[in-house]
Amino acid sequence: MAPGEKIKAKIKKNLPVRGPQAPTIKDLMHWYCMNTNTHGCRRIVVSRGRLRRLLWILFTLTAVALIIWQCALLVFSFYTVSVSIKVHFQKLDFPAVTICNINPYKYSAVSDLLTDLDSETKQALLSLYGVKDFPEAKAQKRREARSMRSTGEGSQPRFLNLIPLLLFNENEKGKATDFFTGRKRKISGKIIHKASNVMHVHESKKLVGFQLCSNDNSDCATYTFSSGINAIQEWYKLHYMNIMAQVPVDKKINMSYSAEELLVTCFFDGMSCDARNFTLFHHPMYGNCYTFNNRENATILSTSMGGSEYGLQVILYINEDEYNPFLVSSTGAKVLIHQQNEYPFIEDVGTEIETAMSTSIGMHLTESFKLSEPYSQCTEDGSDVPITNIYNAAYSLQICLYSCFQTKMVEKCGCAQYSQPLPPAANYCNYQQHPNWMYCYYQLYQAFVREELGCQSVCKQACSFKEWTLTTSLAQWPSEASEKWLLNVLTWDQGQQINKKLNKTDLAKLLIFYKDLNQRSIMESPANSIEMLLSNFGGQLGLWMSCSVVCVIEIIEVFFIDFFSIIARHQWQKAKDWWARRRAPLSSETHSSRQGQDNPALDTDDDLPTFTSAMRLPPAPEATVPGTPPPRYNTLRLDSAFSSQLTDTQLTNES
Amino acid sequence: MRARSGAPPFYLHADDAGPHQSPEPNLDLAPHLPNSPKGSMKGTKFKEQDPCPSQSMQGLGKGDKREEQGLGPEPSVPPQPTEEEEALIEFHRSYRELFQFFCNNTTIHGAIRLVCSKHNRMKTAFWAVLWLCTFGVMYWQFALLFAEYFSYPVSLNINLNSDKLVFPAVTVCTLNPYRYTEIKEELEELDRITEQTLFDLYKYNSSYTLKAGARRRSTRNLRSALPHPLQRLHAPPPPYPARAARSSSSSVRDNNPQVDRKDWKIGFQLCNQNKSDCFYQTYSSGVDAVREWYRFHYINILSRLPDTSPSLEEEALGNFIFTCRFNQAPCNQANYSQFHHPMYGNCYTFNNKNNSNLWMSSMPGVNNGLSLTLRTEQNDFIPLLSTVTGARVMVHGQDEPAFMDDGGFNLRPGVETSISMRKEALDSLGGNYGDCTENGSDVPVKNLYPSKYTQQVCIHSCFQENMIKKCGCAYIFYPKPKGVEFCDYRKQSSWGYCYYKLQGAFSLDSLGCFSKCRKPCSVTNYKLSAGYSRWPSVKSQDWIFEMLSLQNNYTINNKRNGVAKLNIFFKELNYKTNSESPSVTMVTLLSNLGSQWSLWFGSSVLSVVEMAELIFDLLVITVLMLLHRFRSRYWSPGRGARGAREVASTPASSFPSRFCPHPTSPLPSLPQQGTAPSLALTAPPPAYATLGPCAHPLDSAVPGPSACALGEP
Repeated sequence: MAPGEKIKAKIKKNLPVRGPQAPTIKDLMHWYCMNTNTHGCRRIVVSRGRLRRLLWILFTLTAVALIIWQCALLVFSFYTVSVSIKVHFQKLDFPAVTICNINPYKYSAVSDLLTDLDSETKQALLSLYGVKDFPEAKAQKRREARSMRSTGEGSQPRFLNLIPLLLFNENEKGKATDFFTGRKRKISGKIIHKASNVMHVHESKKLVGFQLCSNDNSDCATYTFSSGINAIQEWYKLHYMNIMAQVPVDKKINMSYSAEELLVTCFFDGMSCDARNFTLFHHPMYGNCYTFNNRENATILSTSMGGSEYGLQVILYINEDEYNPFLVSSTGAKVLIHQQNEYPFIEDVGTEIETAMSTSIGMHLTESFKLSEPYSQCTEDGSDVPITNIYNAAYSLQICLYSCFQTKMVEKCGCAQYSQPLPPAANYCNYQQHPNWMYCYYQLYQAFVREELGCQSVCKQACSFKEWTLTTSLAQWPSEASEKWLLNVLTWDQGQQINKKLNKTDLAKLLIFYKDLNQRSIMESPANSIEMLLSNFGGQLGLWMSCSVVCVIEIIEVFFIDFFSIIARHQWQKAKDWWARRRAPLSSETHSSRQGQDNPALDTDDDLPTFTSAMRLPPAPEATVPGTPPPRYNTLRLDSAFSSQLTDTQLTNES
Repeated sequence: MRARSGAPPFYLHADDAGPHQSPEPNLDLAPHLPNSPKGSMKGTKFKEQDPCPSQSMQGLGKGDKREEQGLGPEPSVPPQPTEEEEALIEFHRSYRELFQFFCNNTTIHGAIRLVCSKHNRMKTAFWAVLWLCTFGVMYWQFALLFAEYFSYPVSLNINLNSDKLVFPAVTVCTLNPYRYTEIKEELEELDRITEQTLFDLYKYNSSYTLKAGARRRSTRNLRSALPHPLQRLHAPPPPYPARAARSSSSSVRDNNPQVDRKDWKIGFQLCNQNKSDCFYQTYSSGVDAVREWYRFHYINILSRLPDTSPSLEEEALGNFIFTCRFNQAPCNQANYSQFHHPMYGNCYTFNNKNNSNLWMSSMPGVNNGLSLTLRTEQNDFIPLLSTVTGARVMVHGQDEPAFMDDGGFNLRPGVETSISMRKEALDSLGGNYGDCTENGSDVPVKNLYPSKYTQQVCIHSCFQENMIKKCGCAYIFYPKPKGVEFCDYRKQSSWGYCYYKLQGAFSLDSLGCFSKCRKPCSVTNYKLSAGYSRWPSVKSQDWIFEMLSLQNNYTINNKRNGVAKLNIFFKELNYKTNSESPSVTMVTLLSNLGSQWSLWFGSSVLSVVEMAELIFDLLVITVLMLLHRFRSRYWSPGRGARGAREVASTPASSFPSRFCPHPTSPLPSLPQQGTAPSLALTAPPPAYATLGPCAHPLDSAVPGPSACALGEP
């Protein structure tokens, strides 16, 4: 045959070129499969029979696929947590207990501020429902009437003018009666709370509501209420907030209850305590609240024993006579158990205490610690939440939501909502400065509830928190037998503050205690560590193919570096051939033959990549001719091989 | 290349196939080369070289070869002679060859030393011990790992979610099933007898009895009209027919252990169909006894009432619920549905699944929940049935029925009850990991409720099923399937006996309801805690009562006791999800197995495949050798002719037609290196024994350099 092919065959047979310096990709593969430690590869080569070989290829590829799949599963499940629940038995820190009277301010103290509003409310009740009988107000009636006349003679009522209460008739849509003036008003705009007819199956289809308009009166929303009680209360509260927003905090604190007044007796862990153990906390809607065990620079009290004897026992004085009839409709106190640095959201989560009752609240403490990113979406201290905390308290989800809302409120309406703290450089809303803030607030609140403000998506929960699970039980207190002496003694005790005989409906007893001193801690810890992941990787690699990281490096070396070096060499060879043909078209045909590119002899001369790879993996020792200078290494061996057998090819090669 | 020395018996045979082949001198590779270059020539060359097999086998061989070329790493352009002549599947010719091949190429670390170190016995023994030790340790570890996996351990996950929550369904009941005035006719007889009984037993004179005092004598005989009269029993009751028992039926065998054991005082007698067996349902307290007895009769009366008699629909929503607000907005018709409970009266379920758009809570707190003002006046209550005043409220999931018996909360009149909720979800793993059911479809109890599966639903359905099966009628408090009627002693005289028996069996779980009804895999529950405050306050009560009266066209006479207020809200929006996940998954199990395997053996799954291949090869070689021996015994003479005969017989039989030797290597003088098979026996898959073309061996097992070096001299 052609001498070129002959040469090729000879070279193939005799050359020890295996490995990186293999002449072709096929040889490289063969070399790799023979020498690698990875199971399966060797079998592909050494197996006899095409079917066998095919099967081995399939086995190997399946094993590779399985490894990749399993490792992917391991990686994806890396960020999982394991939960451990521990129960400690130890002396427990007593939580902070915030106690508020449901009624924020003494009615006698605020009545000056609220005279106009109250009289107008009564007037509204009178004309709307015909409620005229106010037994407790009978004494005041004359005076009120006088003041009404004095203020109302010539001038229009203030509050009803600002936001008139309207009577809606179901029959005439879009019409409403301003009950005070009796004029019919055209109602434009949307009616927000489309009240139902459920509640009024038996009665006239009249609804009460009020209308709120934006600044330029172009956009109005009407709020109707199915029940007159709700309408009146809501309307009253609206004005009340306006009025109170203008009162400075000091004055408000003075108008509210003092600690001595609220707390008749106090007993903690078997020891007597008094008002000095409580710190004042002024809440806009609940007035003066007092927090037990939250004194600054004082150690946190703890209980040494579980049970009602060792907890906090207080008797509260709830003066029902001083209640605001329109603002609050229920009697009692509110109590909230919280962490020392937590803000008491008394209006949301407080537990009500009934008068003339003894309320026992048993607590059970559970602590939770969660792992933050990337395990879960929680925040350690709220510093990574883009909402500024307007409360002077540790971060919590609720604080974040309220802060977010308040910030949005200041942004959109220009003033802050009364029941939440003030952000820096903002004022509480009132009609003097922001005549239509109410409309803005209602709209914003609706948007907030519908999660359109984005607060719910921005705010994250806190990673660690304590919670007290409460069990409440009630008993009649004081008992019939003990009532007499108890009330007498308490009256005498409170002589300084209250100069009236205490009634049992003025008092409420509250016991707060740990049911047991077991504290449950729920801790999350990473279920996987890097070592675990690596050993699992190792397990998978070992299980399917008995391969290791070195094998992987080997694969990279062979399949990428050597592979490309061979391709590059071939390209180089082609280019050289092409160049040679151009130079001397009459050159020997072996050069131009297609198979020539496989011939290692052709490219050994100037193919540097081959050499470099040869340096990395030295060929078998017997193949080397000692003393041969490395660059000519292949050539030398070839020379010796060919000189003995095929001189002619050698000659063509050399030429 | 390789000498064929030391070949097994059939080797000779293989050798004698030689003459059929193309000329023997093809030992050198060169003569084959001319044929090879063109890919299209493969087939012809194949045929040329292949003297023995039939046409069909050729086709198979070709196809497979191409497939392999597509898959394999070898490039197809320059067909090498070695690849070209390889058969579909080849076998070693002897055990020794096979083992040699295996020892050279295996990847099982210990095995190489054990099997392949033949020269040193001590070494072999040492390796055998070592191998056994590691093998033992590995399987011990495997056993531990598998035991752990198949115990299906679960690990607990606690997730805290803080999303907008769907407000649960809230059911509020009036605690009075019917207006007394409206059901009076039905209850008249029962009430009279009850009064009479009370008078007889306790000398209690109610106003009713006094009023009806004139009629007392006439009602006395009415008493016997009702079965199961209430009786005072002696304590302890006499072992033999009590006086009281005798009065009702003389044939009572009062041997029921319940009567013997307990010394209750008041009770009523229940007998089975033919009065052969009776027992006393007894109570220690007369109040309980009278109530239970009254209730029992009341059930019977109820079952006689038509299903939906509008006259008995006690109150419209407006009469019971004065105000209703959710999230500061008033409720409307679409937010609630109404149903009637025979004991708890009219119940209104807010925000259940047919609510047009479910209520959502995006903020915690009182202002973001449901707020109801309820009428709790009880001037028209059934005196003997309703001993509780107020209202009953229950919080449950949207598609769960309201079991007012099981999880209710009573509201006191004159008090504002604030119920704060905390949601908790529990997801457990089903299947092998735990005993729970996804949707109840695999529970052998038919769900009688039009709601989703819960354990309570299942237990009630199970009880009802048993009731219908055993007593023939349905218990009125549970829904009935079609075609069954509610129990009434006018129709089923002994259902009381049956019911109380069943109730006892049910409590002891001899009905199997508790074991049959598995818990659902995902459960949501709401933890409630309540706070109370007096409502309305003294200062505000006047205008509030006034307004309520005006608004509802109805005077609240009893003032404070006539109203109650209820707030239900979420205490916090964080809700806890306790979920389970398998603590050992398949992936970790495999990883652990792999770690152990690698640690002790260093082999892999592919090594096992190698072993399997070895065993397969061994079997095939054994079969081939046996066949050969068998054949050589029968066809001993005429070797040359035999080959031709075999060709003819090839397609049909599974006989080994022949064994073809590989073309001899170009260097026959070389000593055998024992590293690779020089000759391969080939057989196509359809019949292994029918041997395919003889392929040229690829001396791939021989490391190149050594061959070269040896070849040089």
